[in-house]
Amino acid sequence: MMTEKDIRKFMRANRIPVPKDDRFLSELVRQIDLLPTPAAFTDEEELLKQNRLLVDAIRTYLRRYLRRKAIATLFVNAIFCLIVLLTVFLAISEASGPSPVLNFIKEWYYMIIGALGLCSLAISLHLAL
Amino acid sequence: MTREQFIELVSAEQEALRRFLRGLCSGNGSLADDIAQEALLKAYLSFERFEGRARFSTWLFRIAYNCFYDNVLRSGRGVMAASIDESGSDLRRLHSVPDESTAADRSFNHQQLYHAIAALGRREKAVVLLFYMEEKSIKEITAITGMSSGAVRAHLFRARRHLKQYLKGL
Repeated sequence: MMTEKDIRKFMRANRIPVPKDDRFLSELVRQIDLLPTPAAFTDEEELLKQNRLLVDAIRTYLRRYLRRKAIATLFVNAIFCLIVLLTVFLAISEASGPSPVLNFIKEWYYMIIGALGLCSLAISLHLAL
Repeated sequence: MTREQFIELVSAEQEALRRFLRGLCSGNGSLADDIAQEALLKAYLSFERFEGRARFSTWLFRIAYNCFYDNVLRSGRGVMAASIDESGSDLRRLHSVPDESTAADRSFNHQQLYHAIAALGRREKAVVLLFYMEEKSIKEITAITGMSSGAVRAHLFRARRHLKQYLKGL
C-alpha cells in the first residue's frame, strides 16, 4: 500500500537538478542592465537619503513627544504639591484663628481644588496630545 | 528597494523557480530557463505592483507560471504541446523533439519522476511540483496558480492517486 510518505520519498529522491553555475544569473543581470530602471527602484544614494530623512523625522517626533510628556508630568506634580500645601495651610490656619483670606479659602475650598485640578488636567492633555 | 537588493532576492529564489519550470517543461532546461528569464525580467519591470501581501517567492512563481502558459499556449512548441497535453498520452512525441538542454536535463528526461508526472494534466503537474517538489502550502499554490483551494485539493487528490498507482507499478 503506497502512502503519502512514499510519494514524498520518491519526489525527494527524484528532485529535478538545476545547474549551479552563475551563467543564468549573470545573463539576467546583463539583461536588467539593458533595461531602464523602473520607478519602483531607487538607487543606493537616494535610499540612504530617504532613510536619513525618516530617522530625522522620527527623532524630531520623539524629542517633541518626550518634552511634552515631561512638561505635563512636571505640571501635574506642581498642581498636586499646591493642593497639598493648601490643605496643610488650611489645617494650620484652623488652629491659628480667622482672617478674610482664610475665610474665603475655607468657604470655597472644594471649588478651588476642583478648578486647579481641571486646569492641570486640561494643560496636561493639551501638552500630551 | 534598490536594483541590487532585487537581484539579491531573485538569486535566492531562482533555483526553485527554474526547477519548477523544468518540471513543467518536462525537463527542457533551455526552454525553462528562457521562461524563467522572461518571468524575472517581467517581475523587475512590474515590481511596483508587488504589494507585499504575498511572499516575494509566491509572487515570482505566479509570474513564472503565467509566463509558462503564455509561452506554451501561444508558441505551440513540440515539447510543450506534449507536456501540456491533458490526456498525457503523447509521450513519444516528446522524445522525438530535439532538445538543446544540458546533460543534466537529458538525464532528467529519463528519470522516473518525469515518467511519473508526464501522464498528469497540466494543472495537476503544476500542483504536484509545487506541493511536493517546492513544498508550497495549499494557500501558496492557490496564489500562484489562481485556482481555488478546492480545485487545488482536487488536483492534488487525483495526482496522488496517479502517483500511488505509478509507484505501485515500479
